Amino acid sequence: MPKLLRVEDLSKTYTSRRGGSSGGSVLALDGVSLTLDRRETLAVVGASGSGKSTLALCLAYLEKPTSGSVWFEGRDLQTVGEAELRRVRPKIQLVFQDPASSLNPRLSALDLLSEPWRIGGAFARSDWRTQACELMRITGLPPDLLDRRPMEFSGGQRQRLAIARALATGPKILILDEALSSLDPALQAQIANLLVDLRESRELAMMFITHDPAMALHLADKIAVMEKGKIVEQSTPGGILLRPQHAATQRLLAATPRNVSRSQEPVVR
Amino acid sequence: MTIRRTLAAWLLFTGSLHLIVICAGFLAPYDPAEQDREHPYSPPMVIHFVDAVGHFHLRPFTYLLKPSANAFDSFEANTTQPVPIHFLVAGARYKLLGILPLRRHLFGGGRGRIYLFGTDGYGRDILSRILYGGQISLFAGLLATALALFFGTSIGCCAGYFGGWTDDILMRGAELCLALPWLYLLLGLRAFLPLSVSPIGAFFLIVAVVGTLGWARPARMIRGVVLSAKERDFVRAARGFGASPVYLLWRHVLPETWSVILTQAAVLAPLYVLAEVTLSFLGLGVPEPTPSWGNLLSSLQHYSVLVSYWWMYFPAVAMVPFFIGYLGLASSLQEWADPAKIEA
Amino acid sequence: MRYLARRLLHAIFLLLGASLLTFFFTALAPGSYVDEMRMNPQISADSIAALKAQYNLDKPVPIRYAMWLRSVANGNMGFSFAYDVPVGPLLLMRARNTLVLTITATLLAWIIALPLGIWSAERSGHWPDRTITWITGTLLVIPDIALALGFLELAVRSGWFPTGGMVSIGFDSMTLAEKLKDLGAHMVPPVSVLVLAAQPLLIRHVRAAMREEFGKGYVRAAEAHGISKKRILWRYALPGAANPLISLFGFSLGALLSGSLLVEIVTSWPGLGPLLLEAILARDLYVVTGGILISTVCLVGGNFIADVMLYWADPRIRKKETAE
Repeated sequence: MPKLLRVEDLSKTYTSRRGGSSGGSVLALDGVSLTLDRRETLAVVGASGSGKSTLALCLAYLEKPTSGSVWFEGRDLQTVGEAELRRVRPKIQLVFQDPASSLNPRLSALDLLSEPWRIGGAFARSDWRTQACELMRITGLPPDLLDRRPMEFSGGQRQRLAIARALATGPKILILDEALSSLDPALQAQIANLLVDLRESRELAMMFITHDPAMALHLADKIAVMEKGKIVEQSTPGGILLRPQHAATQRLLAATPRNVSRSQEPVVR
Repeated sequence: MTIRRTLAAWLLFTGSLHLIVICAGFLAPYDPAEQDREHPYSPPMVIHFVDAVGHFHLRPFTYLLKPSANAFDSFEANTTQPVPIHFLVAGARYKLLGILPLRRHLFGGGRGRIYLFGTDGYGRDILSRILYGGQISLFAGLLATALALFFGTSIGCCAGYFGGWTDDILMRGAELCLALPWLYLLLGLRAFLPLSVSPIGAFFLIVAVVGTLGWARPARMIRGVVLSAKERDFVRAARGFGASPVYLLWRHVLPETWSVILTQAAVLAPLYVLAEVTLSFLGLGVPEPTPSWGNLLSSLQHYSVLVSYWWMYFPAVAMVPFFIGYLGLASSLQEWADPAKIEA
Repeated sequence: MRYLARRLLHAIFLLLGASLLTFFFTALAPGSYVDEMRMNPQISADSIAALKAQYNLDKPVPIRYAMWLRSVANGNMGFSFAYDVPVGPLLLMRARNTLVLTITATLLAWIIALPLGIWSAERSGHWPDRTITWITGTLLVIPDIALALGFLELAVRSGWFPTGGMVSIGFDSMTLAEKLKDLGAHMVPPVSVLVLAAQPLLIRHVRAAMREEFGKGYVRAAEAHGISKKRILWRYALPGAANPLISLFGFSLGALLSGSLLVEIVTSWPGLGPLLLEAILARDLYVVTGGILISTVCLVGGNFIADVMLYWADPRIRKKETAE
């Protein structure tokens, strides 16, 4: 059975037309290849500007890659038509970093959660409220918030709402773009556990984008390290921690406060 | 006062002014086409409460006019013939809002004639003509504004959303429209359409011409809003659910444009009312005998009228409160929509 | 220099586009001069046919456009049906009169608005600012028709200024000084109307631009260094605000040109305005097209001059060029 997601030699160049004749093109992704299967969790780590977010956008196919292929369930999304693409989209969902901007502030939680069904027609209008309640329950949100606007939620609740909405389409792949970065550690832990539960119950494939190596080490089956648009190292957490090969990986690990042994150098330099 | 209260105040003010014009049939003592050949160019009548012998009357009255003994072609008050002002009198038939046939007017002179703002060359009451003329001018201006905003929003949305070639071509077109001097373009477009048309035809012609030319500025502004809205994460998220461009525009992008649209409406409305007035003034707009503020003023182009009959100027004065209202609305709408912006 | 070349090309593109637009309007015209002549039984069918041939009215529109474009390049802008003279000289003379009016009005308007706007920005929130804002608000709500007619009324009643036209009878026999005085007197009503009508627009935008400039870091730093206010204004703030001010200048040209159309008609100033109106009513095709085009030329030309001024005033544009 082919892997759920297979990415081959993906590249993405951003050109800005207003850059003038000096040329404003940026090579965000440079020949990235990876695979992801059901119940797998892949963590992509790297410094700012390494291309992680671009990767997330390209995998969710919200940006069109300049070259390379994205094979989802055996079909190359680069060659597929617009109508087919729209049918595939709900199966790969992206949770954005800042829920305040990814949730339309004018809509209520019910409107936001039911949007995929409004577009795709998975449920009849009369079922929306019950289904939305169910999603809220799964993500640990009190159902009486259903008619409130996102601005009335706390930060952690908003992120759960964003995740709940991503689940509304019944996706096979969930991509989280630094989705936990804006939360405090206790909240991070809660949501991380929630995601692990979901992964089991729904057989989700998950991809975490993060600049926090500790989180990646904790949650993932595989870790990919990115630098300047390329994947420079890909391994299991154990492999990365014990035998980091690439200089970028080593730098990332060195930046993490370590509490492994007290005889080490002080954490704060 | 809070921004909301100021906005409400301006809305109330402007709305009341428009209501006065809508109820022209009730408020105007005469039909605008009704001529009084015996009193051409009669000056405005003054309302009195105390008569020539010093008696006080509760009911206000004016004096009937008789041809003046001293000056040729002018009138003076005949103090022996007071005309009491009656209220809620029956007068010429009219249709309120175009549907309800009525005969009651707010006030009238009964058997005598009351010309509070004087009459024009055909003896038609200026007050009535201003009220009815306001209907034409304001309605034309507002309709043209709606048309221009409709075109502007559609084109701005297309340009902003689709980008690329569409955006380039549309924005170049907008630049072209904005590069030409506005009034010249307006007259030019009017020139190439039939000159003598019926009043209704002229009305819609003016609306079409003014509205069609006005798309450029709103289009550019809307395009800006759409461009920034397009990149918002929640639009991306909706695309992630498989939303079509139409859905995205309708549900997520357009609501962001409302404040711009409303503000532009308040800014453009006076300009377009003025456009109709200018066209009618020059004889290219609504033809006689249908009154419009523009053609009410056109007789002032004659030297003799300008010199002798100052009350013919009143339609110009009538426009001012409306412009004050539109301006007030525009600035309070701007503040309401974007409180952070420094007033320009 | 490359910036200027680009702007020149842009200007030419605009002119071509405008000429295309106006000329193709004529294709939509459902009634032409000749058709209306046809309704007149006194004109024979032969002379109508001859007229059509003479003016090439029987050829298809794209060909007419090409021929017209070629003849314009040669300096010939067509023929006026009504006046029976070549359009070119007629338009040029009227355009000259319009430009006299518009340029004077523009200069005066800026001479008044710039200091007032700066003063208003400097004393923001205090009584000078508030008075000026109040006055501009009042002017803004008075439609320019009302202003024009009002000024005319004033001229008539007071007798201080001539009530119309450009020059008095017997102009040619006056001395130079008398001529200037006469012209000046005739110019007062129309120029005053244009200047007054333009004030709200100009003062408000100048004030906004200067306020923005005053709030910027480099101006504050200069103040902190104890540099005199006058120096800050002339050497720091004004040059910094050059960009928005010069584009305002270009915009004001367009507004004044449009405004002058109406004012000319009301005060009987022999410019493009009355000519255009007559030509429209007489369905004089080439005069209308030519009139719109000449006004566009004036506007585009004026904007190009503004671009040149900007190039000269703003070193950032020149720097960007050398960096490319």
